[in-house]
Amino acid sequence: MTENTKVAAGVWLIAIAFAFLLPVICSYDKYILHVGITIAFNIALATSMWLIWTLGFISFAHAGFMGIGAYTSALLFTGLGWSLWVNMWLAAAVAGLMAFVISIPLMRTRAVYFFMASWAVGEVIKRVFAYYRGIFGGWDGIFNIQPPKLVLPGLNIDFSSRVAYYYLALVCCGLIVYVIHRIVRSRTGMIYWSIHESEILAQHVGINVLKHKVIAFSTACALAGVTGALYAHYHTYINPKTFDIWQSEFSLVHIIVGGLNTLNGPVLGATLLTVVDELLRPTGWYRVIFFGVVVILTVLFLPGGLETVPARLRALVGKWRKRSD
Amino acid sequence: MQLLSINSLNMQFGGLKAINDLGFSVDQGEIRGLIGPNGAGKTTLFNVISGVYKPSKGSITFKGQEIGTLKPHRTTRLGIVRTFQSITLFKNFTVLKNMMVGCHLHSNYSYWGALLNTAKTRNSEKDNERKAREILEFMGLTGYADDLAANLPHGHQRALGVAIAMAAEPELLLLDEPCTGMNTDETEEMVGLINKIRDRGVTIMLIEHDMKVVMGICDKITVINFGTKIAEGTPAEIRKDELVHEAYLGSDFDAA
Amino acid sequence: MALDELTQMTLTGINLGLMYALIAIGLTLIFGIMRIIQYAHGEFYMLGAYVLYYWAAVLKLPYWVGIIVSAAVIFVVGAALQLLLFRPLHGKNILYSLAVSMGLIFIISSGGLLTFGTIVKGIPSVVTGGVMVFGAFYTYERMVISIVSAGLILGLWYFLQRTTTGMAMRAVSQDPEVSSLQGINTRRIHWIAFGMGSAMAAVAGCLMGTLLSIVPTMGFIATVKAFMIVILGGLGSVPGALIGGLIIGFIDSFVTTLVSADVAYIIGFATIFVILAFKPTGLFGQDWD
Repeated sequence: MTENTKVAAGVWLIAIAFAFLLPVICSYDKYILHVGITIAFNIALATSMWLIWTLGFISFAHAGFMGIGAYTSALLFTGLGWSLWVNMWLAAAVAGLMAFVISIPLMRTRAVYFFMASWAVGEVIKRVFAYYRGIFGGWDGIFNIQPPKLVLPGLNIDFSSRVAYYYLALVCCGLIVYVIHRIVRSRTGMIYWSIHESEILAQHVGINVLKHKVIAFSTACALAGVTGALYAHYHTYINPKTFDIWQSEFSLVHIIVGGLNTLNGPVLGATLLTVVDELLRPTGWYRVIFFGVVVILTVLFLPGGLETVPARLRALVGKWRKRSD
Repeated sequence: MQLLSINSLNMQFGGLKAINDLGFSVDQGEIRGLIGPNGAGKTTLFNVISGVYKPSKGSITFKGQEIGTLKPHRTTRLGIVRTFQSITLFKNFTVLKNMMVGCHLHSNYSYWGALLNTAKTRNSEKDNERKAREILEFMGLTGYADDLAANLPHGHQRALGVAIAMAAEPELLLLDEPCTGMNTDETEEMVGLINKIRDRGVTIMLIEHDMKVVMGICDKITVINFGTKIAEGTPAEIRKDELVHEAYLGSDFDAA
Repeated sequence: MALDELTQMTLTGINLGLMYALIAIGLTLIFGIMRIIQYAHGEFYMLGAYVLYYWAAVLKLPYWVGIIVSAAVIFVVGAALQLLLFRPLHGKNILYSLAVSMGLIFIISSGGLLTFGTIVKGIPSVVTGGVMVFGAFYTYERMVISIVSAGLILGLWYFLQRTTTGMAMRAVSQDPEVSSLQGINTRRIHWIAFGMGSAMAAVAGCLMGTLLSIVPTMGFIATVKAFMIVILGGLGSVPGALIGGLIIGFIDSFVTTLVSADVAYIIGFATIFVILAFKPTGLFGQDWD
């Protein structure tokens, strides 16, 4: 067990080092940095969605809350001229607060009903953005959301530079993953998984299940909100379609293919599949078909996702060794 | 001293009256047996006491406080802890982790403390683990601490269910058929454990079909049929009761 | 509001409602029996419409036979997918079957865009003419479609109440364990129910496709409507799906005519949300695990 944790820590260190050196490795290639930024966003979205899964739920409203963050930040920028540095926190607050209000009735539903109710919430969020043209710009969305500048004595960074934004996305999404990591490995995380395992037993050892569900959901949505703000100031343009059910579905694909049991799963899934997605982009609709096939094959033949591959291989090698002895 | 008192309690599901004008009380320190034919409303009563269902009418008081409308986590906090008829565990957790969750109520948990992993949190987690291991030893499960709960043999899974409940430090422990599916040795072990738990000062209510167990360890027995109390008394009195024999049609009752 | 407008909206409401009910009954049937969310249900609705399109508009074969062919084809496709993809997942976490049906959406809708193209197509009508009702023009086509939908729903009702297979289906949906103990072949019931549910969506697709037009992306809207309806009516409840279908049909017809389609959506979803907030298992639903 500890041996495996050491290996995992090693892999994580290498991955982080690689992520930090990527701009140098790819000699500041703009496209590769763009893919890197997209990976960072997808990781943040998938891991925060996975945080809700630790309680046994999958929320299809997740991209909607990313949208709430994005629109909050965008409107504060275009309306009041506030920069991302401030908006980011407000985006988290607004998304988290909306999630908090909605989750009180939402979390009373269970299993299939939760799935459908969250799905309805996601659609309503999108349609509200689309319907109120005066505020949210309708289907056309909001334009001209500028990246921030950082002006400190002796330091002047303009984040409209791709490299600078890459590091910003990397650090922010890294922090999001780190926060989730801390939650999951604390007693809070243990409570979440215990609710996943048996809600009724969790209640009967004195855990206020509804309270924990509401807190977890709001936290995850606040983190999605930050991701949304970062997304908006990077793309400089957002519209309701960016945050519809499809986005949530793709995050779910990332989680399922990467793995459902530990935080490594969504990180792995989001990274790999974003790269594959970019490679297959020229194939158009075939790439969506590919994702469909991958998700079905994973569920049928590799339940638990890619993160279980090392353990499976080890078991296989062990069996093979035993046979050859 | 009265610990739990139930007065003219009714529980209705649609047209079905699962509990019908039931009333009795349980004294501190006793082992109270709850028997009756299948579908008599025994488990429903546990569900109402522990807060899974809100009673349709009537009152339940625990240590003088009305608890009828409280949710399970609140009744647990007051000191009423239950086990389940079907084995209910955190199956994919290790036995120790099951116990750590069981300790939740008295674990000094705080969200921010857990997130920041403060020195205080680390110390209380150490205390929790000590307590968890102590209860495992008490329940005779020490050797299984690192096994997955799902992999335990049946009898030990039942014992773990009781152990988790004990971790919540109950004053009143509701045991729902703790000996179901056990062989004679395992049953004997469980009976010993129940006695040991009582010796710790815990009041116990016990639903059990095995009449030998019920007659052997209960101080007093309440018999329920169609959601109503039909008899109450010491095991010797219940053994002689006409109504009880009628309810059971003489069958599994005479066997004991 | 003029009487002709009101009549028009009412007739449209009934029309839409019955077709929505047809889609939702299929979904609810599959859920009731297999306890899975067939998220790709709308894709069978789309495929059904395209089968009829190729049969009637491209091959110029008789329309009504085409509907039966479409239902048969989709029945086979649905049953095959159940045996191939959903059976191995039976009894596992609901997320897995949900993920598989999500994968099916990706495959079928993108495959549809590739095969059928993105251009909107129409299925030629076979019934022409109409009649004036309170100043509103009611086409015979819509009348026939309403009658066919209602007839199918009644037929299914009869099937579930009177035939051996139908009664076995109800038994499985009430208690899978007991019914399998009583000697009902639940595996057979599963694929039949999946096939039938999908075929009902296909017929709805054919009728809707004739009335409006068809595009490969039309499945999503059908799924949206079906979800709304089953939440209103309660998952697993066939009468609930009928009532829910009519309610959503009327909301759509009235709000779309009087305000806008976007508002109809928002109202529809808000209704669902409010219902679930107060009754977490839907209006007539049970607490499924």
